[in-house]
Amino acid sequence: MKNFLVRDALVPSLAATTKEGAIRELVTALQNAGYFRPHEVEPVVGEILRRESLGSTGIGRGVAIPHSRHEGLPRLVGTLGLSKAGIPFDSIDEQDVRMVFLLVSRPDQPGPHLHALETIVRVSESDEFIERLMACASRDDIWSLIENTPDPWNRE
Amino acid sequence: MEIGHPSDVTPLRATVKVQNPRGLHMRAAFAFAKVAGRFRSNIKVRNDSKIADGKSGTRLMTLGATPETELVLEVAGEDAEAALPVLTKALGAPSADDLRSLLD
Repeated sequence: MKNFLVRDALVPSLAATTKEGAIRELVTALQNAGYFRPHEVEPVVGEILRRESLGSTGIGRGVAIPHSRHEGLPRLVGTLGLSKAGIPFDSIDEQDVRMVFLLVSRPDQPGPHLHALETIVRVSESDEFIERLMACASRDDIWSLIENTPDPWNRE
Repeated sequence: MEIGHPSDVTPLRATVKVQNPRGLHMRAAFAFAKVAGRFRSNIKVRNDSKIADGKSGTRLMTLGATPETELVLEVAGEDAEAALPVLTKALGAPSADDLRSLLD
């Protein structure tokens, strides 16, 4: 996960209480970390919301993976925001979302995006990981957990 | 006559190449799972050593199936013969939107 999540854009406590607000907060965090220019924030937010309108990316267990593609990025970039209160996300299990993994990928590189989806789904299947993640109070806590969570390949 | 559990039945198999230029991404995975959910058979999709329940969009994402990947579809159950051609088409669809016609 440390290969695609941007440390400086992690949000340990989302201020947003809506899906759109959370997406805007996380894209803005990526912009503040240097991955977008200010005028790119709204188009990226709009593209992610357009994708959400085709079907929620709330995959259950309190996890959502809103995403889009965007020209001009050096690589796939992602961030993670936590919400203790939970955010309505139209998830498949109808639960509010507490962990929002936001991904923006290069249009010409589907591989890293698919790899990131696989990684997020697999780590999210661990009750222990979710418990430890939701206990994180700071960016450093989250990053330390991410660094200590190996990519969970071929467990099956 | 005793009917065997689906897992006892030898599955029908097909090898399907991922034609979607974005791979088996989230929306494609969920669309496939929706098609698979219409059948009673047990449906599995393999990517090399990884295996996923074909009726779970989330589990299908763990296959990490990139464009041109050869997946193995396994269908076992009473409607397997009817399901296999539909699922083969769905798994090889060039875009998630193409799967809509299979859901009508």
